[in-house]
Amino acid sequence: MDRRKFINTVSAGVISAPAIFRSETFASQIEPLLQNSETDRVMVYIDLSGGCDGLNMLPPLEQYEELKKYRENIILPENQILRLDSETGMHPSMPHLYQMFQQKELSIVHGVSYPDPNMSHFRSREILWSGSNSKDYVETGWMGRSLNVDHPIFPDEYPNTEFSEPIALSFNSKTSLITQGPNSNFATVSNNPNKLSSFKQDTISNYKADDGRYAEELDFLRTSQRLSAAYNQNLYDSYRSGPEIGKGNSGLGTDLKDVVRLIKAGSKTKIYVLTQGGYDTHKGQVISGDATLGKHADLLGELSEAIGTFMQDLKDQNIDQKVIGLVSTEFGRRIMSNASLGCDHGHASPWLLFGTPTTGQIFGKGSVLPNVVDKKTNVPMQHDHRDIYSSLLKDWFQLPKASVDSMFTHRNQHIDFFGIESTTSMVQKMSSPIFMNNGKITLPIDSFANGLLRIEIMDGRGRIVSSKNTNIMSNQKEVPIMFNHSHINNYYYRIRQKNYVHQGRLLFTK
Amino acid sequence: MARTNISSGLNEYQGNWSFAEARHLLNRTLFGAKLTEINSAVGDGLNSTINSLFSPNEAPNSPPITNSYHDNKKETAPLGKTWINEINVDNMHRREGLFAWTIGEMIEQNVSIRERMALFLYNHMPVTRDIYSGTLLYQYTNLLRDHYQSNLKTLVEKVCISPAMLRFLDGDDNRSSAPNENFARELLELFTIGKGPLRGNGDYTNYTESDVLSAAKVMTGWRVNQNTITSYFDEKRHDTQDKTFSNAFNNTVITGNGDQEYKQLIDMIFAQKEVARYFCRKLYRFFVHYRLDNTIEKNIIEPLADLLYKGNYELAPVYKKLFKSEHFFDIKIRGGLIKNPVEYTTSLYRTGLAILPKKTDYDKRFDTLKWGFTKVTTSLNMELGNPPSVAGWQAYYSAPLYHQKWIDSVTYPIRQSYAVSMTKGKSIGGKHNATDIQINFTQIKSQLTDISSTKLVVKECIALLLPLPLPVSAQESLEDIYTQVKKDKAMATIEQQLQALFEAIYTMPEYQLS
Repeated sequence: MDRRKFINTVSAGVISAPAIFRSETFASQIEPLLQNSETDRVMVYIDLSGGCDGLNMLPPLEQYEELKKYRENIILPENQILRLDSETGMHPSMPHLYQMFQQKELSIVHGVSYPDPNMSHFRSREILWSGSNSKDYVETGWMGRSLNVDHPIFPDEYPNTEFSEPIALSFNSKTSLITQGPNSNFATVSNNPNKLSSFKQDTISNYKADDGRYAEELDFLRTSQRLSAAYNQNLYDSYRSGPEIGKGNSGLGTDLKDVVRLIKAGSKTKIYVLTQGGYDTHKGQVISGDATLGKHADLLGELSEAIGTFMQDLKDQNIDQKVIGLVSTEFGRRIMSNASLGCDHGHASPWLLFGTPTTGQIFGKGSVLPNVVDKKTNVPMQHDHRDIYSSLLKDWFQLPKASVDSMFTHRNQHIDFFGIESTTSMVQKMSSPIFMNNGKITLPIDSFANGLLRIEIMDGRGRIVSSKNTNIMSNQKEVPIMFNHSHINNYYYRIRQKNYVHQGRLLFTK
Repeated sequence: MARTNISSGLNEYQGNWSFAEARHLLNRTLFGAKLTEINSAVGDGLNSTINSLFSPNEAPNSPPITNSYHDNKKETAPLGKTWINEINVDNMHRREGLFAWTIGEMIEQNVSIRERMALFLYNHMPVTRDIYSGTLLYQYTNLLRDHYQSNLKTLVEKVCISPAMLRFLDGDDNRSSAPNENFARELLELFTIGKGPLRGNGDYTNYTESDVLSAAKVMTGWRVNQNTITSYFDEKRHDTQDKTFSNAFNNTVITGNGDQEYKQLIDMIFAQKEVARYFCRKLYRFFVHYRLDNTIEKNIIEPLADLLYKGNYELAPVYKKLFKSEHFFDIKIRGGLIKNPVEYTTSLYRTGLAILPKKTDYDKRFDTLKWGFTKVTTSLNMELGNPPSVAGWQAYYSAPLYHQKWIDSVTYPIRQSYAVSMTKGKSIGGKHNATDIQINFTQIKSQLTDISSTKLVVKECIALLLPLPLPVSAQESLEDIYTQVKKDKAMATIEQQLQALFEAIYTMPEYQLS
């Protein structure tokens, strides 16, 4: 069953248009076309494996003195910490991510965890990847369940002309629980899409075996052989048809280069799963004598550089509007440090969401320390991990609300990564149509202030087809923006600056 | 694909005992059975073969040795001599050498379940190479080899105070003023009783969080002497207060017994039948299949656990019951085990009659085992001595894929090309001193019944290499491949024909199964 059939069999009413199109004033202008919501949107998931110390990555600025009491041997010097806002700092080895935050391309979610946190690496990953709570053992992953909405018969009839590349691609050396669907795992594993491993397709094993474990496993192996051979070839072809992006400065950086190349080549892969390991810093997190250096600083520097380069590559290829990245870790670390210059397993930690489409906000309080701290105290939860997943699935992948809600037992709270709700609380200005000409749009009014402006172009279904953050001068009349359009009468714009949002139709001049 | 319900039980197998059944038993208990071994087993019968597999078989008498890669400044054992008693030295080469040596044991041992059991028990209670001592790792795996068919309770008691485990799970840091729960938690969760459903805050049905802490306190005081790397009990660090357990253990109190308390702890845990069930499930998953549905629970796990429990945790009767059972030989069970990477690589060599360099060719043998096996199993996600966590390799516990975890779009092509290259003898040459090792087609040819009959040759090779017979159509396709070699080149030898045949069989998905 494909996506369209699914939509037709379920009531179309469950598909929610973005909030802006539900507002009374706007509804008359736009009639959302509730049909196929398959998008070309992509998510890159980066797992910081081992449990990243969020207190060192994004130190609580207003609680610096307090934190220093608990971890004097590993805390960054106060004057070295980058400042994101009054509460949230950033490790000095992350200049690229700092820059992205300034450009409103990086959102931060403070205090991500789940009730009754489990401090086992293995179990905590299982909880996060399955999108469950700490009591239940769920055998599917949250991405796997969501991919199953669009691809319910996978792996039968895959790959096909519409989806010639893997639905999910893991650079993780293993298939992860996160992409496990009810029938099968959606991920293909790749170490290097540029290297086609020779894999002979057997033609002899094509009979029906008698029922039993043998037949069951043989069925799995035949499918695996078929998918591996086809996907490895298609990935390779896709990769070779993409542009040269070069080589990264780290394993993660190189993987992200490959991702850019595959997306640019038109690969239909929806989810890329990547890992950066080494965060289990019980000891030696910093070097003795200089807390700005050491294992953790190196890892964060590598992460920042890899993501910063990735963003630039996406922009250079003009595909940045269809890619977001989620950075998570299985848990944060203990508030009190160890004598051996590290810290033990903890609870909540900040997660990151990056990309042009996000509005670049901080969710939750940056002052994460509780009032009383002893050896066993941990950073408390502010956001349930499932809130992030369900918000991304609804707002980014545009899955029907009912489908998303059925994937999680948790009653979720929406996290507005893309400024969908915030526009309803902003002062909305209905503006006249604006015009697009020669790759530039005319600004609707001439009263914008100097500074950062966010422009989003949406199609008739409310899907953001292009977005851009740009600094303008108050007298500026035009802004260049790129997107591929097909139906020239059916686009809308939304432009935000500070507390104002302007929206209306986008017309094309010939 | 719908899962078949398999209702056979533990009654002794009375069916046909032929090549297929003997092969099944030996392939599940060795690392790849040889043709001659299978033929002998057919003649010996089931009981006698089981007795051979379980004949008392002490730890290998030829321990790992120093090779010339060892940094001579650090290595005190001379070239070609064993380093296992030179306890104060450790280096990476010792650990690498140990795992290469382990592979050698798997391939060269006789008909014995020892090495397969040692791997099972290691996965059940692993100590990883992170303990940085080849000697301790060697001692620990030999502890498993010494006790694999004696008594589970005794084995776990010994594991509790083994220097390797004390070091691996922080027992050495566990003292009354600062109890460290690391070992106690894994003892309950992974090594003995297992976690039941979470019933309430910190209550895992079979034990509670407070039981973890009490067990940790019982274990306080056990340490490792860093000079002799032996364990000892330091009374000053032992918690002398009452250690009270939850009603999962009938509110047992352990107190006032110093260095004997850990035995009381093990007694208390093993008094729960759940320990027997938990172990039998792991045994079944490793040797039979990962799928444990209600029928298997009722017909296999429960009676097997009963036998283990009532027999006061004697292991041999339980193993024999399982390996002689109707269920084990049930055609619906046979052929359904995806070979793990260690089994996959070693069985190619063993069944293929390939010959390893002699033990006295220190470097050649080490490099061959390293580049031909340990590096390969690592790339197939099974690094010897280094499972991803104390829970062992994911394939043995991670639902829903379990053994299917071994197979993905990276590992599957590697498995296939490794096997195919083995038929051509160009797998590892050029890696330092490693020698190419090839399937020994001349030797195999000499063991076949009648090389003048294509049909018979193909049939025998299928029976040797694949777990279940193929339908006629598939068999004929393989016969075509075999004869095509001769058609292409009139001078082609039987060995060349066998090479093509083996290559085709190795390429079939059936070959991944045992």
